[in-house]
Amino acid sequence: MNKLYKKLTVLSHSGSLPTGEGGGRGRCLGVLFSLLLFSTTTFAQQAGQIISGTVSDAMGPVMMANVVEIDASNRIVSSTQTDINGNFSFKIKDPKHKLRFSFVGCKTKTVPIKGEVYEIKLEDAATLTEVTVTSKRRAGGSGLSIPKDEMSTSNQSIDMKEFEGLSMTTVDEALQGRIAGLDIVANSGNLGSGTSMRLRGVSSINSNANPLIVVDGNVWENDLGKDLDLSSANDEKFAELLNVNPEDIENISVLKDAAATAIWGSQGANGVIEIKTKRGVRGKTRVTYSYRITGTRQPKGYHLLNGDEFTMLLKESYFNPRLSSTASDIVEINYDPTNPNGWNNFNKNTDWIDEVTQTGFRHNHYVSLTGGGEKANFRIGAGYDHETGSVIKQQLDRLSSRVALDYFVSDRIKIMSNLSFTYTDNQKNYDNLLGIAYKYMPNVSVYEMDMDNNSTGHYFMLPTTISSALDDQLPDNQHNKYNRFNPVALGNLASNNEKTYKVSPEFQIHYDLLSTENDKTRLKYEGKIVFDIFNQYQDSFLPSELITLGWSHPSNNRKTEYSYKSLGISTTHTLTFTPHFKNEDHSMMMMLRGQLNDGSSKSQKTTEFGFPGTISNTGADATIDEDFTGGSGQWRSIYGTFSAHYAYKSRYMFDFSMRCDGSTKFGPEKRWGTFPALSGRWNISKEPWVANNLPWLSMLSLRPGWGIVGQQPGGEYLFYSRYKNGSGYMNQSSTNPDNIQLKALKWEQKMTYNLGVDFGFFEDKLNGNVEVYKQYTTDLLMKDRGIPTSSGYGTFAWQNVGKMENVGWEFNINTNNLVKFGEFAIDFNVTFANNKNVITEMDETCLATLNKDFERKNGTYLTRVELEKSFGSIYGFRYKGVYQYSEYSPEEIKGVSGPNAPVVRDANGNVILDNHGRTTPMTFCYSGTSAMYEFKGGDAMYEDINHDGTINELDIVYLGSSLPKFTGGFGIKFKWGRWSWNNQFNFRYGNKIVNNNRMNLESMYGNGNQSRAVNYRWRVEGDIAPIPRALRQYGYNYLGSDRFVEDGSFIRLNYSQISYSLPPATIKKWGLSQLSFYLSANNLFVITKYSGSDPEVGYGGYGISADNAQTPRAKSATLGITVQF
Amino acid sequence: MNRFIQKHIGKSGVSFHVTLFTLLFTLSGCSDYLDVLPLNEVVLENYWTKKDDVTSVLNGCYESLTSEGSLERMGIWGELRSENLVQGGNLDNKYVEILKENILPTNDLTKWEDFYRTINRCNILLNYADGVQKLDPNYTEAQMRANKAEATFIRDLCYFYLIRTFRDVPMVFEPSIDDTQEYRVPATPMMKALEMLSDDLEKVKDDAVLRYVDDSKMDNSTASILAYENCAKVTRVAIYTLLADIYLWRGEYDKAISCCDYVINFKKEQYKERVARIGQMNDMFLFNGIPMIRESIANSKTCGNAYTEIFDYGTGGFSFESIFELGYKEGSVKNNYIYNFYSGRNSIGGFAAPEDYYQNVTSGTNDYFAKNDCRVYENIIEDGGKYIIGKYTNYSVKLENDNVTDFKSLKYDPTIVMSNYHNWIIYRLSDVMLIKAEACIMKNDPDFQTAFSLINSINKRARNYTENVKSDSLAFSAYSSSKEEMEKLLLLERKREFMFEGKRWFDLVRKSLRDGNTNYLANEATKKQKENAVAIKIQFADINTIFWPYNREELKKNTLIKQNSAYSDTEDFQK
Repeated sequence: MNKLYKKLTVLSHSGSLPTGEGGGRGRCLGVLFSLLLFSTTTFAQQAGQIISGTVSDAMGPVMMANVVEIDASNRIVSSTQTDINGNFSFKIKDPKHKLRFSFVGCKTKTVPIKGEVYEIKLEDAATLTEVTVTSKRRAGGSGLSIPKDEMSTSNQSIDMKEFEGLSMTTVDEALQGRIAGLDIVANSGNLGSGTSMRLRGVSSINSNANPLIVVDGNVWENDLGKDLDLSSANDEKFAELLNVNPEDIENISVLKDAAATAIWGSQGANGVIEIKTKRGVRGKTRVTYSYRITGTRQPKGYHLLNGDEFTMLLKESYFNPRLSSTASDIVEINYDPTNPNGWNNFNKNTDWIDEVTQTGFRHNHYVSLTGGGEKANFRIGAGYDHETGSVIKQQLDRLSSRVALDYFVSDRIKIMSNLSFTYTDNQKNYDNLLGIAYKYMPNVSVYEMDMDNNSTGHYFMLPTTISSALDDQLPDNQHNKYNRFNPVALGNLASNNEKTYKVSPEFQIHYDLLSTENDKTRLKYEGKIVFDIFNQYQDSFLPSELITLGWSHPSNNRKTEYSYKSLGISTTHTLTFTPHFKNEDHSMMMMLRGQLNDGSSKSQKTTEFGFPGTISNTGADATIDEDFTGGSGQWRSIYGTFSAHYAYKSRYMFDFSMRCDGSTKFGPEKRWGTFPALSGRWNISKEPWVANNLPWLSMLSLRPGWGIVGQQPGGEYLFYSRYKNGSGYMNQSSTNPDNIQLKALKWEQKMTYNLGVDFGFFEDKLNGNVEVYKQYTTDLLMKDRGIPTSSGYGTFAWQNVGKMENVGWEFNINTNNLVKFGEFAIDFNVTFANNKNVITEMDETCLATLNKDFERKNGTYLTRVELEKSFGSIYGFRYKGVYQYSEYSPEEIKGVSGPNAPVVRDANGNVILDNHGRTTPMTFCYSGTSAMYEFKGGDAMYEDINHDGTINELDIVYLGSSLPKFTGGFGIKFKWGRWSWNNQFNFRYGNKIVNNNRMNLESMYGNGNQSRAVNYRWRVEGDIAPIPRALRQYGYNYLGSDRFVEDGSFIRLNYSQISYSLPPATIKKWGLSQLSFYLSANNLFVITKYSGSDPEVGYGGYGISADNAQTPRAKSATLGITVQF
Repeated sequence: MNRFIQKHIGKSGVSFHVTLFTLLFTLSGCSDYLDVLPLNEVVLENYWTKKDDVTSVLNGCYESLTSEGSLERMGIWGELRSENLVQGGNLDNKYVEILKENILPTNDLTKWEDFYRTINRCNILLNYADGVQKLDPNYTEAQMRANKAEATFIRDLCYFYLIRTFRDVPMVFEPSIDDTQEYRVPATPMMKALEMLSDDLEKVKDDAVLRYVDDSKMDNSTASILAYENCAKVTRVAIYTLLADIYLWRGEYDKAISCCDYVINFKKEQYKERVARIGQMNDMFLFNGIPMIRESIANSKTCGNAYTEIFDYGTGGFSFESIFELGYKEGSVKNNYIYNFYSGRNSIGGFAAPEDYYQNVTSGTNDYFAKNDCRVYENIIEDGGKYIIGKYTNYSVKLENDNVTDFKSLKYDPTIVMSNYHNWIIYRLSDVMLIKAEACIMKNDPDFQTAFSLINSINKRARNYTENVKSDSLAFSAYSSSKEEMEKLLLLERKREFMFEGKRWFDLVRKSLRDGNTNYLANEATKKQKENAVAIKIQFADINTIFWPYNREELKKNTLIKQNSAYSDTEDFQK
């Protein structure tokens, strides 16, 4: 038997030899033979042969050296240690295994099992003649793992260590001003409302412009919010980043040019933000706990009128239009004790802003457990955040956890799994309370007052018996006008709760198919499956306490329940091939990846009203079901990517990638998009002639790149002609064709040329890069493209309509202990970016339909899209002040007439007189037979640009652009020993904002409250006033003009943070490995000329920024502590 | 977990993920995987297979005709610019501008999308119906042809509205299916377009169903309940009526007359059937040989019956005289035009009647109405100096017109109903009679007797000249002197009869086209103007002004149509 075994062993060895290490055939044979053996021999004698030997080093025999038996995949099968004389002996499991000898300070030695006695001499690791450490910083993204100094694409990454100790809910808050070319604007200060981001400007007309967010190589796909009009309802959008706790993030890289984003194909058209989460590291188990407490406060916005000033204004605005004292006789503003609705309810000076704002608090708790050994690494992180808003009754709770496990099955096989779970409970306000507070009449009491002016404790709701002049302040029959409720009552009594659950389990297997060693040709397979389970529940309730409109009113006890669930599955297979060349000057890597995504969703919405009782027993039957709708969605996509990287001597690098995307959004012919990219890099500083002559130049490289990415339209089923149920005719059901099928629709393509220069001086003490780029977007996708309505439809859902160009540059500088005196160091970072976009080609009819006509209404601006002009241009009238007099006279007659009166003048400013020597009145939109309005004294004066004697469309001029000339940020960091002080600023320069908020607060057109500025209004003939007279529902005093277009440039101190960590020696005594304290202040100050509370205003349609009184970003202060065991 | 996935993704999803590896780099095989069908809608590929698919889309054509935008324009295009309508209560600026004859291409009411939507639905149906008939054995060719006739009528009616409003419009007879088609279509000249319409209708006029419900065999009560089916949907009679109207506009008077005769004879037949079945009817009478509904039921002095039967919301309209009317059913599409503008609300609507239609009427010195003309009391409700439009708004009107001395003697008793579901009549018998009368006059028949008889029968009915008063209400000799006099009488009778039914402006346009000048129109339409009447008259001197401007947005999108020259100067500031 023994002989037989030996023979077999030899056979098996010889059999495996030709295929080399890891050769599939050999291993199979080996397995076969061992199977054979184990099945034929019931005892393990052969395998259990005892071997022995001695281990020694240069100094002689070694005690406690490790001797292990390893199998072909380097798995440890059995082990022992040498005794005091360096001797060992143990039974081997399988003679085809190898033995490995290791000892501290010595080079590990591996020998095949041959013979029974071994004399092993270990070499001293320290005596190596030459040591080359070739570890390089590698790209952390999901593409090829390329050394950082070989990367030829444009990207910028930030280590999350930089933000340690900052209190933030989502990571985008910290990124502001840190990434050159990434313009981040907070949607609003409401909790969990997210940000809108633009990387390198806007390159589409109206497709989604936010960059793609990739977490650990996964994209979160769903169709949430497909029913919402996202351009108007920013807050409604679910902030995707809310699902990632910043504490879980290890680093963030932003891929900017097409060469970098091409591997994301159609998804990466707006750039990609890749987030890499932390994983476990080998070593002792460490526990980290951190806690931050933050106090937040609303910045003070406009000062509003108090009740007394407001009632005076209202009287004037009712009186002025027709000089009628009957019109201004409104009992609620007369301070009339006989007011049947209780005059004590209408004689207050309520500061509604003050009533709805408060100091908010945020508590962030986070605990993580990390560690690992030879076989497995793990990291478990869990965070709990509790946040109350700076507006009353807002509350956000978030529970997030992330478990990362890496299990090394062998040197070749690694299994990784991630499980992340996020739960958010966002208790929002029923409506924008701050917005309501800005408008709500300040003479109205918060609580209902009795006859003796004592509060009854009930909120005061405007009764339906209010004067008819004020009945627009009442909730009307359309139950969507919640801006007419007492905001304090609405905040306290109504609820609007959004809960989300997101679970994403992920499994990965990594398999090295050829070699595991760096100096061999390698082929690696990675398989991954990710599930994405997302549920959202939104419940809102408007209790009957708020309603004064009767029991059957649809606002009475109105309850809306919305639920949405989606499940996405994506599988990814990646093969990475790294050939090894004999000449090590050449290096190469290739990757082939395929991904398949599949998902579906279901949603359901019910609206009911007229519950008997309150929210506590909404289980009771509703009396009226208003709405019951359900929806379902489905999406699928496939893509394949190939990318290759070649480097010669780490000096000349070439990259190529190609992605093929399949989308369900196009018809069969246009379904596949191919997106190639090419880029190169020349590390000039590594050329010997540079390296030798300019030793201070640690990095200088040139990176040209080119690539194409695509964009697909929003919405599914575009290439079908769909038939929908109609409302029927004469009780017979009907079906209606619903759309024009889009057979010709194709991918929007964006081609980018990018040239980057990286530089580093004095061993990268000062480093940075400059990028210049030009993007050509072709086949621009336009939503709801207007077509002749004689087709029976108003629009194509989408069409490819034209071309756009984006040119820009950006630079970024970082330092690394730049200034250093002993323990003191100063560092700074700067980013700067500029982008300009121009529409270069567009069908004339399409341009024309984009440009809406002047509506002859107050308060609207014209938007125009023109060839060779950039997006975001604002057009309107020029405001010239206020007419002092109604009647004209060349010389002023005090209180009667004067030269500053609404009369027609010629181009030289001379008054035009008719044959009878009479002046002609200035009019608004005179056409043929009549004018819409004749200006009077106290009215706004607009410049009659063309001197045709009437203010109309022809007097509208360009007023500025909403696109900033520069955006960026800078930071400065001081270090002194274990103290550090970090300040980060961000800025935008040269953009214009339409201040709708101020417009509404100075219009004096309705019954809402106004800003204190209107106290300077024109009141009587002869007044020289900056603000026109009050005219309720009359006149044209707030036409879209430059009066409300303001410069939005600002510099904000984003945060300032002082941190201190205790010396390790001290805390070691307490069993700690880290103890740090942080004190930071966010949004401490903003330097701006902008008059509103926050110049940070997001982009609306066609790139126009309009400030619609979103909740501004709060100012906050944070105290934090991090402990590590 | 697996069950959860199965539930959400279905079989294909998971198995596909499993077999992905083999397919991974042969992407061509994945194309079918990307065919995702909508879950809540039917797609073209799966539609048009059975009879119901056709009738369901046909109902969609009717539905589109009843939509708010469509109905509002039928009313406004047909009447708002005429002297019949003035401002009542609060009105959006876009209506006020039209009342002031300040019509801009930016005005929302110049949008015609609602009509072309209907047209396209009809075109789609006409395109696919034949295919369905081949597939579905239950769908007979006769049914298919009848359905196609209905769709043709609806389409051509829409075009007829458009042509009368805008003069030259794009004529599209192909369905709009996909984005590879050319949707910019030039406008077809008016007369050519009208010829296309009459040719189109001639082809299908005898395919249509004559009666959906065979009321000849039913007793009266059942027949009247089901009668709506015969006028809420397109019948052969409706097609003949529309043809007659188009021929009238084309100046093909003989053809118009023969179409009218077809309709009038049908109505006479129908009347005979009824009489044969249930005997002489209390509410009907032969006015100069034509059966019409009486203002007062036999042996009663109280008038208002004709109004109630023809327009009443309560019983649903669809009277004996109805030829085609749009039905509105509670809970479905709303008739907000009547509700908002004619006052289905408690107070005055957006529009009102001019005061001179009503003032002095009981004293017999009114220019338009005789004091015993029931229509004035039915059409207008006087309310403290305001003249609310009573047509459609009145639930019922009761009055006694036999001895009118003052308002009291009328014993006037109207009931207003607040509703969003009034019907809207497109054609009724009176219209056919007056089309014939107009054609007769225009033929320059030396003897105007036929025309006069038709006009007078309508007038007699309105003044309740039945058994008691057999004589004529109008004196033939007063009008027979010339064609002009007869035409004036005809237009006046049309104005009285169809007041607030969306017809007056089209009458004025037709007359202007016939005359080649706008003298009559300018004179009539400016009667309501309190200010700027002279300026507006001057404006009307350009005959192009009587048509509406194309909407600015449409011009932008369809570069092949050119703005009406009367409005094109306002286009200049574009650049």
